[in-house]
Amino acid sequence: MRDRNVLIVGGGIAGITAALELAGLEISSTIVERDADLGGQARFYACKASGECNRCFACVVDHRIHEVTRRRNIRIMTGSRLKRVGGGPGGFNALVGSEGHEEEVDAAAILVATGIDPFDAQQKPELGYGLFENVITAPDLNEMLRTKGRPCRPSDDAVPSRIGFVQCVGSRDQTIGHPWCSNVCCAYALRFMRAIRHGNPAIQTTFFYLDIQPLGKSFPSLLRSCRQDRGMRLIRSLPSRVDGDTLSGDVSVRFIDGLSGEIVEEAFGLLVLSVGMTPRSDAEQVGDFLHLPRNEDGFYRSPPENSGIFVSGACKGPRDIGGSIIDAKATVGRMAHHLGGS
Amino acid sequence: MKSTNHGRIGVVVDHCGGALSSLLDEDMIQYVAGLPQVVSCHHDEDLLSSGGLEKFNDRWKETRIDRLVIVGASPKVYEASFRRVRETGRLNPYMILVANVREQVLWAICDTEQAKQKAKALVAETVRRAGCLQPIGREKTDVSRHVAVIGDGVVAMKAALGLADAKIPVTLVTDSHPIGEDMTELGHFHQGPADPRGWWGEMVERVKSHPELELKTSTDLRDFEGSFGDFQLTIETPGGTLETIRTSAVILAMGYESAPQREAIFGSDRFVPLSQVATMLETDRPGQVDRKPAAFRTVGFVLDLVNEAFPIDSANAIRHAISLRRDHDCSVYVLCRDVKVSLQGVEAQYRRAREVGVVFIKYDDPPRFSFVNGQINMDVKDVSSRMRGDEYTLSICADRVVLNERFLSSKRSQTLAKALGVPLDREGYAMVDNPQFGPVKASRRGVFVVGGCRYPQPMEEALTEAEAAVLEAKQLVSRKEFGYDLAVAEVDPAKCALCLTCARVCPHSAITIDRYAEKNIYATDGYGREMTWDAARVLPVQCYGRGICVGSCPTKAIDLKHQTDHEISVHLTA
Amino acid sequence: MTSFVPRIVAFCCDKSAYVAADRAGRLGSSLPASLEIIRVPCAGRVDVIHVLQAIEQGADGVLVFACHEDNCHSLTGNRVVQVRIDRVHRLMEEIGLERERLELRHVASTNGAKFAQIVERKFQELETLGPSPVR
Repeated sequence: MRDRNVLIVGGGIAGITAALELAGLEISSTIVERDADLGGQARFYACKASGECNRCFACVVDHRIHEVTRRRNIRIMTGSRLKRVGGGPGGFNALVGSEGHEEEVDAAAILVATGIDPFDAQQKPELGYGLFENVITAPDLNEMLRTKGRPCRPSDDAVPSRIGFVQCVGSRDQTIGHPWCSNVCCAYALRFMRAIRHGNPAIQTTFFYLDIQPLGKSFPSLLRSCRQDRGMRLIRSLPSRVDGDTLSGDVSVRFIDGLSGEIVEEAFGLLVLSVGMTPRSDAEQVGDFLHLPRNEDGFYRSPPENSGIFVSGACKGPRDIGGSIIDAKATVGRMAHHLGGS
Repeated sequence: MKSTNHGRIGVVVDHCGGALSSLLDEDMIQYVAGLPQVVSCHHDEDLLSSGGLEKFNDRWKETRIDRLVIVGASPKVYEASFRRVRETGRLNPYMILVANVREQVLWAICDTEQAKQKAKALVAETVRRAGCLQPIGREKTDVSRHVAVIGDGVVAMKAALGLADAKIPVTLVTDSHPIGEDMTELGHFHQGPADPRGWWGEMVERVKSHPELELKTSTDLRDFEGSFGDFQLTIETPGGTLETIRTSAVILAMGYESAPQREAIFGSDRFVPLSQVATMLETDRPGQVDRKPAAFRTVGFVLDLVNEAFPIDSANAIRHAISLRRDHDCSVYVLCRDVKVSLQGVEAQYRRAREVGVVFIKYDDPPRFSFVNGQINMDVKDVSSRMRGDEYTLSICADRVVLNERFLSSKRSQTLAKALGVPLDREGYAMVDNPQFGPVKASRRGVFVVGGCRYPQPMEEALTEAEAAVLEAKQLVSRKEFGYDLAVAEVDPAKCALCLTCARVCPHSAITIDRYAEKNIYATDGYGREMTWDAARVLPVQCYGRGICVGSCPTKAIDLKHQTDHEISVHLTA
Repeated sequence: MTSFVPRIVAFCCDKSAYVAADRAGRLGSSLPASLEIIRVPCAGRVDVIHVLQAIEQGADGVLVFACHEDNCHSLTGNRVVQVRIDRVHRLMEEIGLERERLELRHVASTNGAKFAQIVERKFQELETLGPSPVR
């Protein structure tokens, strides 16, 4: 019986979950990951617990990365890219390039789990990212909380007394051709606020939003606790402009105040841009030579099952870690069926 | 009290590719080799990359060591290697301890002198503790190739069919009859199949006729016990007969319930529950031959009075709003707190809705309702109008006002969840929201929870969960045997006072009460007769080896095989 | 000038705190050499007797680390240990031992920096408090 192997393109949480689930069915896999480490976007996430777990799944990703490196029938190729794919369902033959040499990998099926890129906030210059030091993005905040354990201003390393969160950065935005909702940003920003306020009750946080998007089983209680917290303001207004004060480092945010209808400006010690998800910049490459169809927003659509090529995770459309995990499991179920039973 | 002075201890010093060399100088090596009970000390440049511990087997045979201490990196790094040790047969993997001198000494302590002293102390303590290790065996349990699915909706049917198609015999248990009659769930889709009724009907037909699927309708769950691979599911079939199904895994796939809002004037039939809008549209189809003028010209959707933090109602309301506007030529207003567009495709629909003329009004204060000339008048403060400095209330008169229905956990699901040992969350939905279990897995090995009984989710998500549960169940029952280490809790029946604390405290339902040992607790009654009675018994297959029960037992009748109380005591004693 | 170095015993849950302790060094934090880490499969494994033994054997401070609420790999381990810690606190009060010498804290596996911060803060607190009277 021919040894079944699945080629998994992308070593983020969807790819890792798929590899583990395939291993559970005694199907071996090869993960090809572009970066030097596994884990994709989520490997940099900080735990966002407040008095309780806020279901950010950062630790789950951590555990899965640990598990996947300890299995004999999962081969991991980091620092590697998919160069070419030939053959067809049941017998694919791929060329993988890593560190100046190339290798051929045979596979009975291919899973594309290439994930997303966070939106490049510099494409919205009015929000000041890259111009003012104390304007950061959510990935920056994750890194900060993970390594330092507290929020701090890049300009002077001090703990800010007021932090603003700007939602829908790069999402629901016709002007830059990103009409979709990225799904996860409202939830992750509320979690950030809750975690920060729990660890530093003196910090006041403000949430500038368009519509609050729910996500997950515990979202109702998360939202309720945020609405009840006096140190958190939820303002239904997206800022039009951000300015920086070079002396104090403070960031000045211009928005319309809901109550008065007037244009106001408020100063924040730190401003966090809740960037959304965009299709990977090299998505077209992988997509092209695998002939992957795309939807109107540029994310992958699943090709017909008999093609032997499957797609899983956020590369199909924005979703959170939990959503990617469950999608990967369901996709492996379909893959196993395609490969001929368990 | 067991003596710690036994065992022949071998030491392997892992240099971790040279990283530890500064710490592992001549002085250190001599110290380690000279510790009590240490009979051999070997070196390895880099244990992980050099293929693990197997290569020491011959050397260990010579020195007849029966336990091992690795001086190197974190034990978490060697875990996979330990499992392979059992396969070579030389050493039991539970007879190995690791002195974590890389992560927790070299990397964590700045002062070199302090680090050296600490490393010595750590190795000495580890060697001392190695003396109280006991080998732990491995068992296998037969896995019967069968899964039970409990539920009556489309999610249960999908799960059952997924297993049946994979040639895994499945019994679908439901208390309704016939199956698939209640199609309320079709309203829980946000995009859904092209022909929902057809798709539903086809699924019901397949369920009824699949050779691998045994359907039991009008059937209640009466009892559930045992362990994964060998559960006993006792059901009551119509007529009152009790039947026990032997199964390896159970998938709970019930749905959620919804109740129409009943406050104040909502009893009027001008208020239409969201789930009935589809029917309302059916009875007024454009192009219908005998179509009468519709009873409704202006329709208002009022969302977020309940279910504020769920996306499905927005998705359905927007879909219906577009249909009403485009096909039925109505004036349509959607009043909500937030427009929830997180489900795929809803943002585009929201745009389309506004393009065809649906009016969206966001509110902070809930709208107030009254009757005016037979219509419903809604007074609402438009949040965006405040932005022009005006503070005025919009009054909209509608022929019909659509209200979403409050989502509730079903009582039947709660009863079933409890019987299966699945904890309920604060709202009564099955399984607490703990990311370590995530959707699908319950805390009891072999039990899975999917769908609306877990939380009110769009049908697409619930069906994906069903697929995931099928996969998990397949992984479990595909093998004929399930192997597990006996790194579990164990009761000494002679000490057990049957207080039931451990059985109640175990989150994995891994402890049962049984008459099983030769001599459970016994006593003599007034006539000198010996009586035996039950004691707590751990089901090793279900045990996760965490020791919560051990920490709770008032008589210390239960201990953890891979980390006994004695071992902790030795660790704490200098 | 005698330099009192507080001895801290930390019961670390294998799934969260132990991993965090491993991470602390790699993330640039440091741990005191007088920290003794006891790895347990779950914080729920830690019983009253273990905490008392630690104190009896001369620990100036005892930290018990558990997973966050609703993140325990065994669902309730973190909750049951809380009950036991409360009990020991009451015992400590009875015998005149400062309650700061025993604390239950919650970390996740990714919280390397937080783990080190908690240990450092306890270390400083104990320096002020002085050696355990049990010693």
